[in-house]
Order: sequence, then structure tokens, then C-alpha cells
Amino acid sequence: MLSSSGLLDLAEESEEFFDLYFGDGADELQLDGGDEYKDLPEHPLDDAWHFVRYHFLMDL
Amino acid sequence: MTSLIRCHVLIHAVMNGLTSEAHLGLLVRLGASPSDADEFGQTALHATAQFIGHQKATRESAVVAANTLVGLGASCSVKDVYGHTPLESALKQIRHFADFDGAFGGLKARHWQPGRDDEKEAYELLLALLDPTQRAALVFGVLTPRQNHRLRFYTETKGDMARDAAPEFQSRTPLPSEDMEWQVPLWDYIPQSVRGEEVYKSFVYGWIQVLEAIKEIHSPQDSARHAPALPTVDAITRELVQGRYRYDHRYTDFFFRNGGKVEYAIDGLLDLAEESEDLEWLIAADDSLIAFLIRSA
Repeated sequence: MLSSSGLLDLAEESEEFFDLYFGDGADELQLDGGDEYKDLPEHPLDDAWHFVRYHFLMDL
Repeated sequence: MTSLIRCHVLIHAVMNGLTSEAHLGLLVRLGASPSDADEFGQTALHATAQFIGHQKATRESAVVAANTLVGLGASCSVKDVYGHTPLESALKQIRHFADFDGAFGGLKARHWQPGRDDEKEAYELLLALLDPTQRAALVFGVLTPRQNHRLRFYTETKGDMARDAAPEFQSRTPLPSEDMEWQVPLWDYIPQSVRGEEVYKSFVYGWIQVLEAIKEIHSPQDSARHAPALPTVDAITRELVQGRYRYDHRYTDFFFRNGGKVEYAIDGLLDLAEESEDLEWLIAADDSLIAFLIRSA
């Protein structure tokens, strides 16, 4: 049986996070931050989290 | 010699399982070029990507072939007519099989499963197909710079939260396990069968110490004396047992004796780092977020 409350729970719990990132304070945050991350070079393995997980957990 | 080049002999050799240095090296000495491409611009290195998802022995052959070809001078940067390097072809294949798993209810690949090693060759192939610049950019040989940034954010915040929000227990009195979900970071990454309905302080504090140990390894308090390192299972276990940080071994022992594993914490941290969208990271630079929260308080 599908959980009917899953999405509602998520929406409710994410309120504070949503306001913080997309509400009144969002512009201020975006202006202040993120440069460090944005300035990091992109890499073809950026989305390859399976690769990372494997190395962490299997100690290749 | 010309005929060897025209018939793309190295590609055919790889596709037919001739992957050793002896075989491929002989063909190169006879005139075959490791950079030879077919009508789609694909080289023998591109061909290795086609074996992801095949039987284990075939996957192992692909890894041998890739390493051999690179050793013979094949370029990892050459692109086919679709604009894909061999690495990108391999990533595409991996995504294809991951989607297949997800769509047909197969392995829930994202989550840690004890003893699972069916992806080993795929990742060894990725390593073989990285060009020297891409390889040199990996932090600790594993994380891309952006992945490292994301993961460091979570190892630091969850490590701090775990210590600061440690719940209070009455002596020898367990608390409902579900109460921990709101207080103890990543609690729901411990399987239900392990954490049970009620938990004792020693188990919860053992888990908290695991999170603190991960933070101490990946983002040490005194980075001048202790270099940051990859928080692997071995590294975390070693840190908890021999750590320079003050861990209470009674909690650690109780946690491990009752089914606790550091793998659960790694799994959770990697999930958080993976699932956070780029946008969050564009706005979640360490100092600015904290400054904003202070100003908003």
C-alpha cells in the first residue's frame, strides 16, 4: 500500500529549509555564498557517486 | 601494416576478448595504432566500455584491455562522433544499467549492501579511462573537488550536530528508538533490525562517536598536524580504536557488539552529499550560511 503521507510529510518538514533557501533570505544567501563551490572545477565523475561509495565502503 | 589499420584490428581484438599486453602489444608492434578509430570515431578504448554489465570475467577483461591500451599509448581524450570520450561512454553505460536496476526493481544500488562487489570492475574501468589531468584532480584519488566539498560540509555539520544534540538518558534506562530520529543525525540509516524499538545510551553515543570520528578524519580539528584523509571503513575503525580524539571505548564497543557498523554512517553521508542539488551548494558556502543563520536568529 502506498504511503499517503509521504509527500505531505516532506512538504511540511521542508518548510524551514524552503524559506531559508527560496524565501526572503535567499537573495542574501546567494549573494554571500557559494563562490567556493562554484569556483571548483567540474569533473566528469562529479555525478558518479556509486564510484565514491564503492571506494569508501570496499577500500579498493 | 596498412590492412591492420584499415580493419581496426585493436577494436576487434578487444571485442573478442584479446586483452592482454602480449596480444595487444604484438598487434601494435605489427603496425596497429592504439588511436585507430572506426567510422563512428570509436577507438579500442571506447570498446572497453561496452562490456559494463556483462559477465564478471568479461568485465575483468575490459579492465585489463583499458590498462593495456593506455600503457601502449592510447589516448583517453579522443572523442567519437557523438562527442564522447571513452570515460564518458563508460559512464553512460553505468547509468544505463543503474536505470535498468531501478526501473525493474532490482538492486537498490545506491545503498550499501554487505559484500557486494559486482560493480568493482566498472569502477576500475573508470579509473583506467581517466586522463592524467582528471586523475590528478581527484582528492584522495577518489573524490572530485566538488564531491569533496559537499561531503566535507556534511561530515562537519553532522559531526558537530551529533555532539551538540546528544540526547540525555536516565541511568540504565532505554529510550524509544524513534525518538532518536529527531535528535541524532542519520539515525534512520541504522537498519531497524539493529536499532530496535528501544535503545540504550551506549549504543546512541557509540553512533555519535562514529560521526565524530568521520569528521575528525575528513576534516581534522588540527589539520596542521593531521592531514585530512578519506573516511573509509578501515580509517574510521582505526580512528575509533586508536584515535587521538577522546573517544569512550565503552560506547564504541557496545555499539559494535550490538550490530552497529560504520558503513551505515558512510552510506548516509554519501546519500546526503549526492542528493543535495547544485543549487544548495551555490548558496551553502560554509561561512555565509552560518552568518545568515546568526543574523536571522
